[in-house]
Amino acid sequence: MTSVRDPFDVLTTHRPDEPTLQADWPSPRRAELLARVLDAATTPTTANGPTRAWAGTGVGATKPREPSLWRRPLPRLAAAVALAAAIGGYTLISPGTPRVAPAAGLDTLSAIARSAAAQPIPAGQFAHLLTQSHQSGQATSLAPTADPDKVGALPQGRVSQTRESWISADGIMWVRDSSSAGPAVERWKFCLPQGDIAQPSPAAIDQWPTDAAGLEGLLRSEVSGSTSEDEAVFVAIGDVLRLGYTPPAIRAAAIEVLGGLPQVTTATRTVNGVALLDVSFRDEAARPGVTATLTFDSSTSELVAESQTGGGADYAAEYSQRSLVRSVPAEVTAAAVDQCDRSDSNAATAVPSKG
Amino acid sequence: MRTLPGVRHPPNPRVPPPTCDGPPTASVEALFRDYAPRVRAYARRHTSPDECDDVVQETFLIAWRRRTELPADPLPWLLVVARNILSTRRRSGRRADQLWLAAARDLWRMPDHASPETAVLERERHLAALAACTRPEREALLLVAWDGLSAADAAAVAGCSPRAFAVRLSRARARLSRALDAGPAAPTLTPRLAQETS
Repeated sequence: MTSVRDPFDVLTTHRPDEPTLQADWPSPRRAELLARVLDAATTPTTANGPTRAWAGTGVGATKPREPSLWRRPLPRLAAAVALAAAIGGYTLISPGTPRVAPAAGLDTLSAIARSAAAQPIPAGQFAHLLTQSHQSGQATSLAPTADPDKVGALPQGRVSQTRESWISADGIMWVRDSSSAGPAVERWKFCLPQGDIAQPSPAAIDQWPTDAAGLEGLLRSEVSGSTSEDEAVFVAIGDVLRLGYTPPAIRAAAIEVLGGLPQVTTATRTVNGVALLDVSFRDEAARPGVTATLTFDSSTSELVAESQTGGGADYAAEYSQRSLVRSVPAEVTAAAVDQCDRSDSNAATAVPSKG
Repeated sequence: MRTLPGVRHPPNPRVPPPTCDGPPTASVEALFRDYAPRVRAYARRHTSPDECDDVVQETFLIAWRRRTELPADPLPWLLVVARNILSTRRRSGRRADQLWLAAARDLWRMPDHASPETAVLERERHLAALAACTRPEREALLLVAWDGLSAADAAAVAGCSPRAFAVRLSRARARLSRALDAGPAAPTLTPRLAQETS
């Protein structure tokens, strides 16, 4: 059918009406959800924070995030292994951490980053990263589910995920995910977009400001998705730092931006001889009881782990094993689901599929 | 400027005074009945169907907690909250790129007057044209055409300035028209959908 109408008007004409919405979301399910909302809404809160009902819904608390596609690599594998063994899972912030100060140590960390040499991914090679994450306390969709209508079918306990990824200089990324929550191993192919501040391509991030003011301005102009703009900036910096190809100058600027956030505190600790700096964000007004922490290797300024506690769920991730390889395993390329959005990518055809 | 998380240009200050009429739950119940389907339809484009109810629940619990801040037209506010929740629940972002397609296909209102074949064909042509748009462009189109937002409110939900949104929407409309002029639906559309929903 050939239409002479403005296609935008066609879209408007086919806007879902109530019968369409009703078919997609029947009344019984609406009523059930409304009951849940009302039940949670009428449960009283305490002066010390959310009640269990509120906490269970995740309201006022950032859900533990599945690791983004990139994690900051640990430069020394031995240290990573030691760190992972010492941490043993998810609680990265030692209870009663003795040395806590508002943003102390970030100047030194930034200076170390400023002095680091850039290590771009060579053409024809891939950065191979390994991320292990753990999440507990709430249902997660890390595991695939065969029945999309089966709400609540996912496991409530601890879920561990391992993500291996390979990325080329021109922004093609291959991913292999496995999770303790399900038997399936998922493989993906992504084309990192130019304009996404959460996961910019290597070429895109090379254009970012390397001074703190410029970087903070960029982030504040783009961020969304949190209860406060400062929190969104903290989250965005985590995204930047775990990419694996962030230039050291931008890492330095990002650390300086962290130092300017009033909700940020730092704490030092040593794990198996590795000096670490925990940089924590806590906003009691916006998210009572929730602390998000980025953990840096104090000697290299690299992000080596992160965590989030409170709000009814815990999440932690460790970043390890960075190496340059010349190819992506064939079993990954052969089975990867192609998720490249070619209309939004600068790197769609840069690396041919080996599958 | 922090009453609306993540929005640098919040909607017009239309915040009504807090109401004292009736039990507080009545207001959230009415709000839910009036707007939850639209919030869920928005969530459908951004997350898997099995998570949509959770997003709606969290959205309305936040609306309950901040009910004195609700503007007279609460839909844009609710969609910003839903967007923020979706962002913090973010899974594999690129995979989520394709969720919109399943949602748009499911929620596309089929006309009564056309034959099923014609209606499906028109739907697929337009979905293919939408697929040719960039993600921000597509979202701009759907925020206005499907969510029924004004350009200013849609800019708030999209997290950009009204001016930037206007430019984006204009480009989106042009790209949509060009894509429709270019030809039939891409043959890969259905298999990609199958990957997303299986």
